[in-house]
Amino acid sequence: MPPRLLLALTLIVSGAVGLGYFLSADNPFRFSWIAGESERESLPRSGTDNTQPKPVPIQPPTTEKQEPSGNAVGFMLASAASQYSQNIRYPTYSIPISEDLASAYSGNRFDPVELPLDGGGQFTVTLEKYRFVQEEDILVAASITGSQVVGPSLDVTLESPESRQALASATLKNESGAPYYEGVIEADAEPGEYRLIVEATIDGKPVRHASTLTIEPDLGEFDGLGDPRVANNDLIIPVHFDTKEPGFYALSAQLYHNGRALAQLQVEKRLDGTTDTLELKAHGSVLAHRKITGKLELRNLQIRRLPTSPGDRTDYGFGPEDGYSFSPPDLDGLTDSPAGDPESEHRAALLQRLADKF
Amino acid sequence: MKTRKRSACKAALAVAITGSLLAGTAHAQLAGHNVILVHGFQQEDLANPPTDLDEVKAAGEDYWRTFWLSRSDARIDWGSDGRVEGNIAQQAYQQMREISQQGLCNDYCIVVSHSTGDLVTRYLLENQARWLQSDGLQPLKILAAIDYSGAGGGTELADLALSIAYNDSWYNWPLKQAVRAFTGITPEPGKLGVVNDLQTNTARNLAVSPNNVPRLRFVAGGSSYGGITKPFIAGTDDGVVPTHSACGATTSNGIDSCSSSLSLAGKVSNQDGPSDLYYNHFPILMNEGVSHSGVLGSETGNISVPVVNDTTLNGLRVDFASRTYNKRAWWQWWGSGDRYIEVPGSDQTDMSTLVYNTLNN
Repeated sequence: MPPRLLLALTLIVSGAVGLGYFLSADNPFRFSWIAGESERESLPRSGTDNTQPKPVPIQPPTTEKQEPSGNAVGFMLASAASQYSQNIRYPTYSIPISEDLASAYSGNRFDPVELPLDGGGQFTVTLEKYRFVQEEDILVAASITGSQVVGPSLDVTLESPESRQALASATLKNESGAPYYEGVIEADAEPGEYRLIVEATIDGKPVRHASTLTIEPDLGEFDGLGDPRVANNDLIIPVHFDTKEPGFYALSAQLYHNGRALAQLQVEKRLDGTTDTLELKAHGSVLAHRKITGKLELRNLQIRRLPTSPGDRTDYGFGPEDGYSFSPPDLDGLTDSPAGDPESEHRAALLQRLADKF
Repeated sequence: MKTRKRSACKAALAVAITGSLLAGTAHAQLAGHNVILVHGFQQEDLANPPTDLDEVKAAGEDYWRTFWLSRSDARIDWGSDGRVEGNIAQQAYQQMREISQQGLCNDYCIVVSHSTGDLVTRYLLENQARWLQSDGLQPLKILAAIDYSGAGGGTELADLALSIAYNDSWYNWPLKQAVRAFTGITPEPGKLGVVNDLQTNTARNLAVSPNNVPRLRFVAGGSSYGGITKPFIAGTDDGVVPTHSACGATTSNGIDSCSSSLSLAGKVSNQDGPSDLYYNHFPILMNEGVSHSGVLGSETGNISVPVVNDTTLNGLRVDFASRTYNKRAWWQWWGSGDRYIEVPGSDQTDMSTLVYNTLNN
């Protein structure tokens, strides 16, 4: 057989085998670009996430749909009941948190808001936070991507949503070729919700990006911590807050140790001027199984004056940026025992009874 | 969110039968517990704001007519032209007072919410005990909330609606059409009502403190408005609500599924899932095909997928192999195909019936 013919036959056979594999369902690299469904091969996010599911174990493959042998919805309800039963080991005033939950519950978060532009670009505005106190500086950053021709600066205005009255304005500048525009506007307005309007001239036409922020009243002053103590399987942390007006207040904070978030703490209390102390409690279930050495920290303190009547606004105040650190008392008396909240236990029992049917 | 056609006659008739409805649904329970319905955004309220609470209630009744109305014991209706911390709270509280006075939740109620009803419910749960107690009434005892297409984390469509309201008519035609489809109006500043609360940052800064009421999440992934809204929502979505919101994810980053190992269609594969979920939020089912309003009982033929994170329950292994199947795509000539997990027979029914029948089994 001439070598040229042999080579041609080899190429034909290997091509057929390769095409066959390419079209096989077992080819893991197949046609992901054709698939209509989302099939990103991204890996689960790393970090402190403790809810990342384990991949479902691969079972021996079958080629046909199989008859069900159980109730999948029932299984999911039973699974939720089981998770809920685990959660109520912790009282709602002291729940364990991951870093992601700490970020979610820290309050006052503003994620960048994107506005698509003609031609595929994006006009993005971001702030340090969502809520500001009166007369605080609001740092505004904006970026514009795409092939558009953009002016050298952007205008920013703080506007009342009802009256549309402009309360403050400033210019965002693009310093030394930075890929963003930046500027400061003052939150010099009555408490309430406001529109932040950033206007750019793009391809010769004005484009306005609108987002929302709030200006909060001065609720009072944080005056530090009292002496922490242990009682009834709780580490009690007194927080002094000098209120300007009486009302129902909710205080939340996050307990950290060595830079790691341990628990979200919260308490609700009426403050009427006769007392200025709210007591956060860290339950034994979030502390007893840990080796606590050195200081603990309270971070992301947030106080809310709760609406007295339906329709009233919730007002917000925030603790010192660095939070508070404190030396805990002897924690050896704390135990990792369930919280025992009667209403939650009753709810869990009802859910479990529901789940037991499956 | 659902759209509706309202007429004066229809509204009057609805108001007239409200009393008889309450009597007629006195035993409409779910798993032995009274059911309270909290509806979603009604775009008609932006175009034609309701004039009084009766009109709000009539619209609320219409909202649930497809399935849940006859299976409920009470509703909390609200006008979408208002704000959550405003008219909506006032309207809702009037109805919560009645529910408390009637003792409907003395043995624990189940809340069924849809879309923005998730956000409204969350706000009410944070405040109801204090308000009712100050009026000398018993707080409502809530066993759990069943949240269909929950918008508690907001939607990017609301972010965009706000900017569209402040831009001239020439701006970005496809985006403007998507926002019009979502709001039912040409947005203007000051006329967006609860859409303001649905901005992702606003929603995620409202009443997010953890509480002890379990939120059971049911997630849709189909198309609404002919698919014109989908390009403007982060990650997967149901045409109105992004999956990050419906699952109860702690950030507004776009995600593909409530699970990192299972797609909305049930395919066992790596997915961009939530990095974490809000406390006591439990995704139960996902359904890639059903639309935002179809979850309320109007759409069949779509497969529901259990959000299986772990096939072990209380130490016992559950054999999900019996509920899985493999499927080859049209271009796959041979091989075992991809592995899928589904709720068997779920394509024969709708998501509301599926849940109702399961709980009342």
